[in-house]
Amino acid sequence: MKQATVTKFLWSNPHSMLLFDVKDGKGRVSHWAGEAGSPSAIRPLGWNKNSLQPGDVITVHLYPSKFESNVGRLEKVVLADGTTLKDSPRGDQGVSSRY
Amino acid sequence: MRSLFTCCVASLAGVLVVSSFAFAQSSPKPNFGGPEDLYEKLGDTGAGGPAPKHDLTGFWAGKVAAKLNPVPAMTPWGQQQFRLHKTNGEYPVADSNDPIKGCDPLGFPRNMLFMTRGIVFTTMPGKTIEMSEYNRIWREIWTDGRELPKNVGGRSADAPDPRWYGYSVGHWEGDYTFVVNTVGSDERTWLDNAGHPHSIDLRVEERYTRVNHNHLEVTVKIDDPKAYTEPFVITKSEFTWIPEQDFEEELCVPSEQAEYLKLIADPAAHGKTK
Repeated sequence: MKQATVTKFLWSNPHSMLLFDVKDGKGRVSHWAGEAGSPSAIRPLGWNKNSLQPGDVITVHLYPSKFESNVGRLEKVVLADGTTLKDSPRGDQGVSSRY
Repeated sequence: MRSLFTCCVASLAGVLVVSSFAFAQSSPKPNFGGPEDLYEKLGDTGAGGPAPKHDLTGFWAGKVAAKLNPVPAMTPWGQQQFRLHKTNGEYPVADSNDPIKGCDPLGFPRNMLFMTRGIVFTTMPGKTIEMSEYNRIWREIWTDGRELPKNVGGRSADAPDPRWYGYSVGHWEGDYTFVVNTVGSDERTWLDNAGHPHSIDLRVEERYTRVNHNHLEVTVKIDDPKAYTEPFVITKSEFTWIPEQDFEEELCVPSEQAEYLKLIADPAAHGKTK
């Protein structure tokens, strides 16, 4: 999502969360929430507690829920200066096959 | 057999990159970069010299989740328990009944199979303490020659209570392999993320072999005749010496998890499909 405006960034365990707003072409604002890995999972990828501040305008790439809810798992965010912050791999669920 | 990678919101559609007035979808294949954990980030650190004898002391980095072997056939009791477990892989997080969903303890041996980014050993007179980065867990491993408790969870007045992390004793086999035997793990905990069960009769043998200064190999063997038809090695995993002897704090914080369930997991799991 381009021109997304950060409203809150939660550096939290076991999941970090990004809340942001997006305007459509008619100026209507939709509120979104994206999930990222834990701080220990995403810090090695360049994130820190202050990576995103309310008011920052960024581009958000995420895997949205298949339901009509504005939530999803982040893939990456691109900051105004071009810095890309990727989410952690989802190996942290481990092997979950049922056989 | 299904393999799912969600740790997060289930039911995700393809990756979405949306402008302020239009949605566009690209490949749903995850596109990640960088190390998955400190173990991967450290990479090949070399042997670092010979292993010290009878010494695991220090901070070790592991994979975030161990690679697991298939479990053997379950007993009827095991199958019955297994069917009751709704995993985060098969169900949206909001609808699962995984004990850790609300930040209950992983318990042992699940904590040696999942969230194994970091472990620590320290030695005291008569015991070795093993700690985990995740949730700052510690286990007491008695090395004073005592026997494991019997009849844990039994009906007699002197029966020890089950514990989330069981009761453990350890001894050295040779100079470099520390063997830990554990009983008494609380049945409320799951064996693994796939929801496989264990009973109070579970006996676990861990073998920690320090190959050289920088490398530690761990095998975890499961013996639970109430749940499985035969003993099995569930994993053989590796840990690397952390040069800085430090790692991140990582806790499952109940209030933050509750916020996550409210803001993301619950909305992600329910509602009209697109």
